[in-house]
Amino acid sequence: MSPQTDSSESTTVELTYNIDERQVSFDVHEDVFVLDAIYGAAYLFVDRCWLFLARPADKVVRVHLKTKEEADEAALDELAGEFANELLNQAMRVRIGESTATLREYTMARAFFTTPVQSSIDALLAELDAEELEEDDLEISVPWEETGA
Amino acid sequence: MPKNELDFSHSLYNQHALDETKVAYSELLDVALSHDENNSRATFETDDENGTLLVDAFCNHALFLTIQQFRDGDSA
Repeated sequence: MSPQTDSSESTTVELTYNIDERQVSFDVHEDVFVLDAIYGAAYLFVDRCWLFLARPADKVVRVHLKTKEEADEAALDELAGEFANELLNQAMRVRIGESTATLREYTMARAFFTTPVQSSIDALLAELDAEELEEDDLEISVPWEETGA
Repeated sequence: MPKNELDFSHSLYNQHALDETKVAYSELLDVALSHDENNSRATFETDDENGTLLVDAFCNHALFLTIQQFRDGDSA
């Protein structure tokens, strides 16, 4: 698999598999996938396979994936493909996180720093307590026969 | 005793994470770490068939700690 993406800025993504026994390696360009996304994908694969990251050039991360058990070329290709998919998924997570950061900060700020307003449930409970106290100061229940006597 | 060397770029691996990993694997793996400005070089001395496995596990552990520290706000 060697997907290429050409944009108006001529940004090209090339994933090359160097299959050597149980290991597959490919380069990821940080112009396309930020380090946070690469880390996110690696974090999810750390229990599935052996990972090693190298820096062959500026803004290029070489990802080495090595299976924990015997694997043929097809299995390695599948592993690399799954990693690439997860890379896209993580890149999207990072982008959404960045685009909604202001909204999240606003929500948190409002939750923590605005004047606390009593919730409607608390208000209803307080109202009920007040009514009960008006009827019986000590809140001692009285059997209905005695009240009728 | 065979030696195996790996270079960990500081732009990808946190130096503290590498030091922590070395301590964590001290009873299992004989490893020497030397740091320079951009890289940390790990020299592994492996004496049995599990050596490669332990080196791979060392790399995974170092990456795992690096990602955790990256997410905690300590850049790699």
